[in-house]
Amino acid sequence: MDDSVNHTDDTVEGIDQKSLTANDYIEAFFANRDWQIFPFQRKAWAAYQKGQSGLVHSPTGSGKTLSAWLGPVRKSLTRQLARKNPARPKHAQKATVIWITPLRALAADTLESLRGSIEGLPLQWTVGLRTADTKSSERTKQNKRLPTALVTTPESLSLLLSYKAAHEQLSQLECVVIDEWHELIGNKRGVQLELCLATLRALNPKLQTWGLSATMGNIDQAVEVLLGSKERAQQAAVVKGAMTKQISIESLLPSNIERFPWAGHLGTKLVDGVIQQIGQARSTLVFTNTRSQAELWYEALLQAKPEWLLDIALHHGSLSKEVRNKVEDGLRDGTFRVVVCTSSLDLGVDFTPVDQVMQIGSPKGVARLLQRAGRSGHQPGAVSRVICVPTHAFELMEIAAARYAYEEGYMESRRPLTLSLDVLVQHMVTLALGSGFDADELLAIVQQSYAFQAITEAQWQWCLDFITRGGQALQAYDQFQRVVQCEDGIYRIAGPKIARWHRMMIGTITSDSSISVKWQSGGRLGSIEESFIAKLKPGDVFLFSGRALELKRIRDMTAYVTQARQKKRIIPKWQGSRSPLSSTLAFRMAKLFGEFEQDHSPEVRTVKPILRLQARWSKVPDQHQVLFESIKTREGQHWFIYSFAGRLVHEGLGALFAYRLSQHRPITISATGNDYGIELLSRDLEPYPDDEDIERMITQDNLLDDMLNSINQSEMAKRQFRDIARIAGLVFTGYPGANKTARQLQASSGLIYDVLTQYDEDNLLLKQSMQEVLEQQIEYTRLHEALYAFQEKTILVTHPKRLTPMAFPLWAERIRTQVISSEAWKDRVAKMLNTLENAADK
Amino acid sequence: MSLTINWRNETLVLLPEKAILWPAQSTLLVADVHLGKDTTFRQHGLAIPAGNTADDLQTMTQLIEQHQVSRLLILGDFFHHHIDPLSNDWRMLQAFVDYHNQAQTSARIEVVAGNHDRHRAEQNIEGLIWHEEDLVEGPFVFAHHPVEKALPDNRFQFAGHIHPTLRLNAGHDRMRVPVFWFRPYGVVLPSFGSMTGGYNIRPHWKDKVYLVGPDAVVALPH
Repeated sequence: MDDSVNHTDDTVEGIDQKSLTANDYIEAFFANRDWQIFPFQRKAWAAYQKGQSGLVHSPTGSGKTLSAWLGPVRKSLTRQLARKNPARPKHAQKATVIWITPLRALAADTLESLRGSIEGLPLQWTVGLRTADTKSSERTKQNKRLPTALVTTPESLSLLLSYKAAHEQLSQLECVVIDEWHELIGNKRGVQLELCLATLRALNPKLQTWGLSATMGNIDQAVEVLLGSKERAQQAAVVKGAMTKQISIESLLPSNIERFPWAGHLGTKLVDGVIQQIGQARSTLVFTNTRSQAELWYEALLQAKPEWLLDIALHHGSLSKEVRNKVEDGLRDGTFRVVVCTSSLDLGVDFTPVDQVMQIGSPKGVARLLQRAGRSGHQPGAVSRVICVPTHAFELMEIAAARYAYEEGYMESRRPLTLSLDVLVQHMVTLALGSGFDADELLAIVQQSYAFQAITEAQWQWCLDFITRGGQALQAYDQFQRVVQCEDGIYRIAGPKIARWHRMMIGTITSDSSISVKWQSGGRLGSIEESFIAKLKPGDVFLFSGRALELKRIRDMTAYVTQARQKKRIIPKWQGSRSPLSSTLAFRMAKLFGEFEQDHSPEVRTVKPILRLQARWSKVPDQHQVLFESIKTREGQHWFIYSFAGRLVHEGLGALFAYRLSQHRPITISATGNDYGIELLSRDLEPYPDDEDIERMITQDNLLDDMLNSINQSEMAKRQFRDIARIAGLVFTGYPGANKTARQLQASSGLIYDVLTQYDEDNLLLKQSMQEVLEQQIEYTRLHEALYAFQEKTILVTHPKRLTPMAFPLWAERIRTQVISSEAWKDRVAKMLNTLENAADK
Repeated sequence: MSLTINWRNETLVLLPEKAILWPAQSTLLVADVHLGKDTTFRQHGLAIPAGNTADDLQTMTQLIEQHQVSRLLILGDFFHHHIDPLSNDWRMLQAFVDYHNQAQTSARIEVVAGNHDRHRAEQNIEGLIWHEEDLVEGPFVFAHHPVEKALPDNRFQFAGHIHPTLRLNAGHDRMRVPVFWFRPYGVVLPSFGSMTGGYNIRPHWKDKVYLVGPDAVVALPH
């Protein structure tokens, strides 16, 4: 790719060039495009000019890119114009700006827009791109001489730090911009970036860091994480971007509503209403929450409107890059009437022709809904409208709650990770490979990152031992070599082979063990999670990429498929596809339930009959109450407990309650959780939960121990260890596309987990794995808060005669996980529904 | 607890240590030990602790002494990769072979070469007996790679190589266990080495599968 911008024309239309200031150029740039400069952009530029770092945030809307980009451009321009000869210099300016984008797919578009905005300026800037797709010849060229501005990803930046030549150039760097910072905070890619930023700051203490972010509940913390320390954060400029457009959140209301809402059947009942909406717009994005739901809706829309075959497209993260690119191009050109997608299109460049956004199911979070809403209405003055399509009745409550939360200004927080030692050891090896490092100096640098500001001496020493000896000094790690301490005291990589392998490993932070799906006759369709394919036998039919495919065979991490002829099929369940209700939304939901009689929004009005039935049969809890329903059925005694804390927390609490009750008396209890509550079921439970039982369940005493004992902790930790092992370099991920050359190094992370447990049980990575299980898989902090809330709230106990509207979805959820065939499950649920409907009619 | 079975009129004892004891032949059979696998990993910069090579040798010694066999027959992949003659692994290995050759109740250590044993010539362990070809003894064949079809003279094969495991599902609970896999033409032993993975098999209904638990072997009911 040509990375220089060459112009023959140095003039800006209609302006006398000689007396121009940098501001004049910028004003002219905006005027020529009929754009206006927002006050927040001026504020950001002024702060940049003063040498400040900062963060620009707004819920949606544009203008953030230029607010960060034109800061350094304007500064260089001012410097240039102050010279005796302000004409464009002959040589390209040295590396000045690094622009980080979390998505590789976004990088090329960002490059274009950055280049476009400096055209016509008397600057000699080169703007280049460096991602995993960049040719190695190009990368080698960059290692020797970086462009003035480099657009790259966190992984590629980390890789750049593994080259010594780059370090010298980076010491001259003036500014780093991190786009979509909210996407990085809270995951390990963010931690990797924090370490890279700390390293860049050590190379040039005057480096200015600017983040661009969607609004978060914890924006102050986001600034602190970005800059690594409280002191720096206090001196930074926090700029609130303009709210450039109105957002309207609406619902597609069903004409008749099921009194017993059940999640999980992904109802496409409202397909006719959706089609009608699509018909009214030029181009619609239909967001779903899971990839399987996207496949299902794509199929349902096509079935209802076969004549739309060429106008409908599907977009999700498991499809091949070519397919996705084609869809994205089509969106830009406006050739598609509708694209069904997942979070794969949450981020990214503007698709101007899109004038309508629909959301299937609850968005589960306020920020997410706003982000999606913001994908439409790019025409000036347009309102961003999002139409939510509930898949069960209570989702209407979630939609209404999301709208209230937005109007009241509540937004989710993103919690940064700390002390991810796997990422730290990877970074240490990267630096050993780059310029080498001095241990004390590096510790001081690492402590300048938010993630590792609290690292202990012992943890640091362990990391050093891990990369030099393999483990603690006293243990026999015979013949290990990775990093060595040279005679000058500097730590360097142990050899060229290890160096090569390490470079291949950087950037595997976002990894899913996925296997490719290919036609037997050739041609790639995309990739799918291994865990799904592992459950299939050759001959099984599954839905993928909008097609029914028959699995032929699996070889070399590839699933070979043909077009299926049979009708019966399985829809892939992708891992991690269901996110729990955010705590912001959950909190607002609980409030809305309590106030439902006074609420007049269309959603609540629609759900009102169901809530009244709930109130008649049991109670509708308000935000100061926790509802316990004790119901007896042929299955046994059920205790339903509603605390509105999100699915992960409820699953954790369910396991905890079951464990604590069974510790007290020998009974078998099964536990199920959804976003609203918990079901405990046992043949041996009493119909009346007494105060002692309740106290026993919700006590804070021994919470951590009980929690750990109640889950299958070693299995969960082992699964969590997969990522850790890969990031820390404990498994060899191999050469891309050539796994066979390193067969003697093949071992699963599970096996390594077992070996470590047996021979090095104090390994800190094992501890980290357990910690991550607690924080990420069962949201321990949130669980702890939820349990605390039980003690604050009034506990209401009711004894309904049968399953209530709130209990029913939990019941269905449990049955779903019990019964293997989905047909049998649907039958059972349908029968139960019938009985309940009859009772409700009476 | 071990499990004694009768197969083709031979009495075989399936041991939870993932070995077969054959009393009539005074032989102990194991497959896929992969000695030195951890060391190979460490040499390539993967921080795997040491210990399993010593433990695996120790387990083999215990089995030989406990059952007083005169031969340990390894069905291939005794070594994982190259073993440096100056390394701890090499010294432990030589000591292991010496010990059994010299002990009062001496036992021969024999290996049918497997694909991972390609560096055996350089290794030069004294007293270790290599079989370059499949070993035929009467109606039995000892090999590394399992056969897929009938052998001449209706011979029965003992082999390894594929590290057979079976995936068990019971509701929410899932586990993966190493197995002895008896097929019409031969048996495939589970991998013996403590740092070996497994390959999930899909047994034919005619096959007989024995599950290896931590301290017992049980037959998989049909």
